Amino acid sequence: MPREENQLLGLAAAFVLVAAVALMVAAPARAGTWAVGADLGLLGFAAVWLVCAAFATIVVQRALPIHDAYLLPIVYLLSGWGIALIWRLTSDFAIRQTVWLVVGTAFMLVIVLLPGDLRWLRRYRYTWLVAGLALTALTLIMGVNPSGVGERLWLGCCGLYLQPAEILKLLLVVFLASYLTDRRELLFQTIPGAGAPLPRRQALVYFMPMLVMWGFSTLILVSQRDLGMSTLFFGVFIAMLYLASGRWEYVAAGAALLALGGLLGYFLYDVVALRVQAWWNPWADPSGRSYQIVQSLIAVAAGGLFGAGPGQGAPTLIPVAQSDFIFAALAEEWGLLGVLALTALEGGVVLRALRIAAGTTSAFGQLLAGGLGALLGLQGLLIMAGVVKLLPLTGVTVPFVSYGGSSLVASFCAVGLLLRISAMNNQPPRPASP
Amino acid sequence: MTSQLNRLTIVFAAGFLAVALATGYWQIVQSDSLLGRVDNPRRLLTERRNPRGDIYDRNGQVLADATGTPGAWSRHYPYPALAPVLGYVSPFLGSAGIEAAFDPVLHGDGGLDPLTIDWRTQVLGAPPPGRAVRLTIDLNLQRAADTALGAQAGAAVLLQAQTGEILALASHPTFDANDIDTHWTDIVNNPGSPLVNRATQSLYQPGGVLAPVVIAGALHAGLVQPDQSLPDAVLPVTVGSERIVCRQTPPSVELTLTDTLAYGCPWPVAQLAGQLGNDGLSQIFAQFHFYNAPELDIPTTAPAFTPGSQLTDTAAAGVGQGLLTVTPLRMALVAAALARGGQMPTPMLVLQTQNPDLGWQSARPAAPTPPVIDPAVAAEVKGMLRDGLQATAVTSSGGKTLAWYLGFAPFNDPQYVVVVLLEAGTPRSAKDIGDLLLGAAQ
Repeated sequence: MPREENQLLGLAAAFVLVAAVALMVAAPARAGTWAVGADLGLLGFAAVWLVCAAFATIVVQRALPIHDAYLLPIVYLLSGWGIALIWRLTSDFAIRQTVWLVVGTAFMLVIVLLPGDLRWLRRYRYTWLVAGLALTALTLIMGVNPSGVGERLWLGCCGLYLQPAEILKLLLVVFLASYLTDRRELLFQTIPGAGAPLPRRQALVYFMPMLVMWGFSTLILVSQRDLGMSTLFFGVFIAMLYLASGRWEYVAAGAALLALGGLLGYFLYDVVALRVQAWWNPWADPSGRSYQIVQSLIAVAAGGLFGAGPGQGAPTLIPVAQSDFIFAALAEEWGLLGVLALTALEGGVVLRALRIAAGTTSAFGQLLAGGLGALLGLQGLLIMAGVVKLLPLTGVTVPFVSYGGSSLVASFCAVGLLLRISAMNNQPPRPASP
Repeated sequence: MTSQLNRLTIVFAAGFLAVALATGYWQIVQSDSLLGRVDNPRRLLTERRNPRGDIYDRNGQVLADATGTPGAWSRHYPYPALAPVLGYVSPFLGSAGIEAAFDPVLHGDGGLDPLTIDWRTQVLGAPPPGRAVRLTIDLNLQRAADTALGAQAGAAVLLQAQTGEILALASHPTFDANDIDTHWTDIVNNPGSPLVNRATQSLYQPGGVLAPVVIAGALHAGLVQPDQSLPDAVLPVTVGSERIVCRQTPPSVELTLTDTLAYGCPWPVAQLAGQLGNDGLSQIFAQFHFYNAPELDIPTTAPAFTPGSQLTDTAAAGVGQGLLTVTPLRMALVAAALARGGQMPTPMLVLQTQNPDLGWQSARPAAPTPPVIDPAVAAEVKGMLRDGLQATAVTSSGGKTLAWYLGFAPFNDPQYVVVVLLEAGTPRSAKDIGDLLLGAAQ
């Protein structure tokens, strides 16, 4: 298995290096002359990336001899591609993203190396979640926006910015996985051998702590007007309820509630109304409110089947393309082929997470892996579907690819957890110490 | 939980597939309509590395070219005053004038199939080069026209009477299309409206410059003889609150048609217009194509009203103070028709364009059209305009006085036609400008 993983990582490294070289010669290629110098800056980032990927793989292979062999190659390929895309759009941000990649890798390895199983996560679920909530609530008082304008979702100090909601989303999945594991029988009453079902009213009581915690999380995000994250939290909640219960009713009820919430939001919050209008008919105001979405669709169209080529398009015309609209930038320069690769890789992360869930025996491991898979999958789908006008646009990141430090670190933490779960029940007996 | 996980896998797979399909929809099905939008600057941005074709005057002097370094070409106009003809081009503002009309040639993709363009651009890395356009404009004459107009608001058109080739077309105030992105707001906010081409787009009250057309109609209808003397010729004509009188006081109260034109007396013209009646007047205006915008590569205009129905005040219409308004270009074509036996040319601005193989291809001259008026009548009117025609007109709003001059040369076989309009000037100075241009052209 390590051999397979190493081969895949070799392929990922080859892809990232080729992309980096292509981007570096893009400027002279566009001009058609070597008189325009090639910018070698990306090579440094590629080197740091390579060190991260290689180091992480070696550590993970030592610590967890048996683990999912596909996750690391996929997420490193995505993050390397992401840095290349960000460098092409605004090279300054690529430096920060590379630093965050190092931090994310470190966090992932810490999670992988932590002794014991994941009981510490499960046992202190309220502590974790309350801490996350407190941190997020802090943004209501002292939140900032690194770009100076827009919703203030970050906590900042000394030039570093943290988006607590990115951490909160992980903690919420952990909390839900833990809570649902412990209370499954009581909540859903359909588990064979669980004894006589409780009266409905009593069952509702057991829903309360979970609903309260989830409600708090959503409330904070809604009051922050973080639409993307609120939608994401809701979706993950529904997905995990479905995983735990197997009941479609929850999904149906959830969809109805989401529609209701959206409708209320449309009338109560200007920002929701604007997003929905910009989605439903962006052509009505292409130079104003829907400038970004229209320019993004034009960029996507400019890509065609094969794309303009790395560094050969004009995706910088989309305002702040490096975070919300990186998908459009990718579609312009890498074409439909690149988009197919990206969706396959993002889908691959989800698929591996759900396979890991299916392959583990502990209910907590199943729910946690399934929840993390749903989280990463929903997040990717929300933003990509938003960019191609399938859904109203919500400002979340494409996991591992978009610019955004907190998001990258959170995604790598999720990978660390997934690797741990994939190693559960699969560990070969430790060799006797000499 | 396995069945739940499997179903969730299917849902996510469907979701990612939907994203891929939607992307394909925009990239392939909707591609052309999105890329053709005016707010897509990509097409013009490529001209930074694949320079746009040059524009030359009829003698090969450069009017527009690409300057800069490879990879950072920008559009340059060595003679900025010609902006009303050349227009401008900018990835962010779009394009206008010749730049817009001949964009496919200048950009280099016109007349090539998309596959060839893709092959050369994407695979060979050598997109089709921008190709050149050669105008009918004569830079020396154009310079003379711009210098003569100077700071006066107005227009001047110099035509080759037979072919319709426009040798000079000036519209003042003009603007500088070099580096237009940076001073666009200044241009737009300029109260002189430099973006409006006064020669081809601005509709002016014709006033006395319409008199030869009414006289041609009257002669054609047999209402008057060329040498007939007209009584009471100095009487004023009242249009609304305006009293229109002779431009110059004539020595006598009885005038010939030639004198009427020379002194700019409205009364006889109003009388003839009245005799022609609504139908006759509408007919002669239609014959001279006053209701149609001239066909040209850059935008032209025609008065926005239905011919025939609204010329109720024939006197006002006859003395050019009615609803009929005209562009200087239209008047130049009318002058050409009167000067050359009723043959009204089709105006031309482009002589040649470059083929994809970079050979020159001449613009096809328009098919000859039947005379707009009986050649004998045209010759009689021409005889009355030996010194050209100076005229004034009163604007319908504001009561400002416009100055017109219409002339041609040489008299015996007119080759050149000129029309000058000054928004605030005297017919005399308009005539000076026109005669200067006619002299320079010969």
